[in-house]
Amino acid sequence: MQETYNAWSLVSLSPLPFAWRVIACLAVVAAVTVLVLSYRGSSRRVWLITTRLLMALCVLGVLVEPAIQLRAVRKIKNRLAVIVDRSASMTLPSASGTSRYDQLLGLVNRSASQLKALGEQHTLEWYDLSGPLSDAQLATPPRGERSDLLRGIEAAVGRGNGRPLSGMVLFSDGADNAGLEGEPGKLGKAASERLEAIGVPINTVNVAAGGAFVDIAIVDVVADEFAFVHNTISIEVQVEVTGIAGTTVPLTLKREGDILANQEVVLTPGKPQIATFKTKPDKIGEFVYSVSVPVIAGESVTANNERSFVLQVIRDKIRVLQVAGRPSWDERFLRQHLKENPNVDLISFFILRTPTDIPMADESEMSLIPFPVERLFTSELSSFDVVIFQNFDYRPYQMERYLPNIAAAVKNGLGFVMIGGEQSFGNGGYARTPIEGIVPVRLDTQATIVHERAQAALTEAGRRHPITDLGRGGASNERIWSALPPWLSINRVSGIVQSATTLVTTEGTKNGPQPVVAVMEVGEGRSMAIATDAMWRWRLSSFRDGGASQRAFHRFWSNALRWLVRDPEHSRVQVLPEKRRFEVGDDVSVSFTVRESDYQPVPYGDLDVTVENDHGQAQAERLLTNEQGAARFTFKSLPGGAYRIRAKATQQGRDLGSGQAVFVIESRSLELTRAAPRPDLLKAMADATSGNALDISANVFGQLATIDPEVVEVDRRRNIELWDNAWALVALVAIFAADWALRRRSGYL
Amino acid sequence: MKLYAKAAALVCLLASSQVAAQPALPSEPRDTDFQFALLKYPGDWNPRPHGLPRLAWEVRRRTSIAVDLATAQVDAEGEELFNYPFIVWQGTRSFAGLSETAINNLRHHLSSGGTLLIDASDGGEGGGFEQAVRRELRRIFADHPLERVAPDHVIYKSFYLVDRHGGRTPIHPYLEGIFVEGRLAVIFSSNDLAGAMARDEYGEWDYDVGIGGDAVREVSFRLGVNMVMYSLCLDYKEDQVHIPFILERRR
Repeated sequence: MQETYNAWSLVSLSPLPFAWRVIACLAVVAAVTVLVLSYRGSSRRVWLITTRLLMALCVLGVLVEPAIQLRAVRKIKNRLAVIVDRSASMTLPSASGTSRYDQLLGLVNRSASQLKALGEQHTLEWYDLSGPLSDAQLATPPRGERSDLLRGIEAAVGRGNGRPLSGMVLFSDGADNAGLEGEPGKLGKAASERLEAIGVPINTVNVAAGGAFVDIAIVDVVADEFAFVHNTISIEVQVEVTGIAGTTVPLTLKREGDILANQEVVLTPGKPQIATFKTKPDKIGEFVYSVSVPVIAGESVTANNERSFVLQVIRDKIRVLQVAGRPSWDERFLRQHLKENPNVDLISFFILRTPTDIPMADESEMSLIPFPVERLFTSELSSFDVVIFQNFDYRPYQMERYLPNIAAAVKNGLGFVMIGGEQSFGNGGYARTPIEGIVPVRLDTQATIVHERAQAALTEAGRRHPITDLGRGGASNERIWSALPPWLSINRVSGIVQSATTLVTTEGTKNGPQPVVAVMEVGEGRSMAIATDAMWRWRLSSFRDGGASQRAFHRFWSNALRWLVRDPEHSRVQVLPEKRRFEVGDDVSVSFTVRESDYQPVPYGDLDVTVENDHGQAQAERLLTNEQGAARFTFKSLPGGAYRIRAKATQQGRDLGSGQAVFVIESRSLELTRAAPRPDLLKAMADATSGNALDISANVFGQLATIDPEVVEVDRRRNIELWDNAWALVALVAIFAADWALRRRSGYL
Repeated sequence: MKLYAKAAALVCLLASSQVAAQPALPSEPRDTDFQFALLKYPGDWNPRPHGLPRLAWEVRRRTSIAVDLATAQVDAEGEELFNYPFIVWQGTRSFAGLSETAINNLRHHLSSGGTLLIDASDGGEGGGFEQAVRRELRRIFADHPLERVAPDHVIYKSFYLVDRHGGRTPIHPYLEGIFVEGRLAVIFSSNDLAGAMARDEYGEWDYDVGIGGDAVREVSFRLGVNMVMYSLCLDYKEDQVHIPFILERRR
């Protein structure tokens, strides 16, 4: 088989060490130099010197033993990484009307022959910003949520099993949103260093070149997730304009479709503008707030003209009115708890002296003030969230005419608590008054107080109810209850009213279990009865329980207040969207739970669910809860907008209450927030790596800066010795003969 | 006091109250009522046996507070300490240090909301009882020193508007106290308050209070009532709604 070689080189076959070869060569050169100088006076010096030089070459040939080495070599292709930005901004239209991504696909399709030629020089590897890219993936629309160009480049460098890169080609609109830019229009220092460290040219191709990009974008909205009702909040809105000269646009703040405020914003390209709204939420609950700017003619991206967010408006504080018939330890420790609770705004009125008491002093020597019953229970009553009657007999204070106000307020949403003592419940004269209708226990006119040791015991409802959850629920909670200090006095009541629920009873008392804690729903309001004035014993307990009783006291009252004011977490009908913000196109999954007034799950309850957006588009569904009182539904293909979902629960016609929640469907992709093409960044990347910055319209694949393959593999070689043949011998003899003849004729021999 | 006066006083007292008849101590306290609990310790722990019952009687007579007239006796080493939020510590002379258990119990009691009234009965500045109590207080609250109670503190207006300090022996024209999280948990009077209030079953004062007589006793009662009221209502009288009334009456 004939061997073929595709490369050659001149080599030395001399066995002499390299140093000796050098010395020999230098000696020959020196000898020739001396001879040349000696021929200066001769008329044939040219020929003499020529023959001597040829002889010297022959000597060198003998010493160095030159040969032509023939080699068969094969170049290993280095890699050319082609990185395609497949982020969502690539779907935006370019100047030609087609999308940026379609511009890229068009170029790829047109450049098949150039790509084939490149493929002979380099191994073409295709990537997107997250990893290898197949032909099939290349043909699908881009959906990337983020443009981290530098990370995409570095990921491509690390692939290829360590084989070297000849260069890279990045197809992108340059709309990086991962911190590539430092000062405006320039790469950040760290980004520059990382790019230079890659060590190969990066050629960038701007796929959005050739047209104007016009956009007004709400880039960011800064607002707290929570706000206190009637307290001013600030909402900061960052707006940017691209592609048009300075303009003024109206910025609008809305709450679920209702316009709350407007302001004009002066926009200059390249300078983000911050606008601040100050608004005072006037309702408690969850709301969707939106900030928007109008769409202008020719705007490239309209999805970033509105930004919505969910704001939970909560009470600034729970306003509690505590009325105590006399100072007592129970009153004192409850007051201490309420005063220490930062979520409570407490107004207390304690009856320090009754008409029968003899203070032995003039009014001016005492700090007593009149009990302002009229003001408290007429004009001020609506300002309270919870009213506590603690061992309080209303009769000495001519309050009969105000009792209907209290009952009506409870039915309209006020929380009401009656706490025991010898002036409470039936002994307080509340039987056959409007208060009777809002108290969970029966009011006997001949009620008694039992002074005996009584341990607290949870009822079945008490094990599930949020008020009595002093631990983490279940066994732990029951352990906490069973270890609490006993009460030594109990208001004996003859039972609870039909619609009430007993949560805690006594255990170990002579006459069997007595209800101690009972609750009831009263219209929009809620009420609670505590048939003892000895709750304070939990607060002042021995340290031997490690503070568990004190924690139980705090937890009990915190739970009770939250339940009384209908804290959404204690709502019996819970509506829980999977999240509060969905992307356009997402399925919206919502779960529901329905519980009885004793918080027992409602199996097979009916749920009438309505979801409605701020454009008035509504969808209704009828669901059935499962055995655990839960239901789930997934809304599909809901259009973008602010949504409120309401669920009303019934069972065989019986109203079980309702619940609601809000959520937002909008595209808040970073890709569409700042979608303007950034050819300046693409050029900076190319400049930093000695690559070329190209436009999609150019002859891209013919102008790439790359590094040639450096690694050559040798498969076989053959040496052709130049001195070891007949022709060399003949030439040597001829040269020596000529030299001898010349020197003889010139008189040197 | 003459015999007929004693008889008249006895009739009045029996008619108006049960102060003369010391009720038997209940096996367990009634949670409803306020009750003084006298701290028992190795020493002269009950030098004014008629003082606290009399104050309890006055509190019942003058205010709406339901009061158990009997004074409980409590050992700081036992769990029963926590049945009584208001502890009174009296004495006339020095005593040996309390046990660690007692110190820990008192610290937890006072930190959890309890109140301790220390009433030095020995009637002299820097007496043995006072010195010993100060020593024990440093063990209970090493980081909370005794300090003078400011004249505008709510304890001086919790029921009566008081600007004097009463007591059988007017050693200090001020109260001292230890504040725990802003609350006056320990109240220290060097003036033998109980000595000024102590009255026997026949209405006879146990001790002479010197110049000022009845007025000093009345101030002592008022200050005592205010202490009880403060322990039960805390800073209630500093609520905003009370301030205009109090300022008007202070003028």
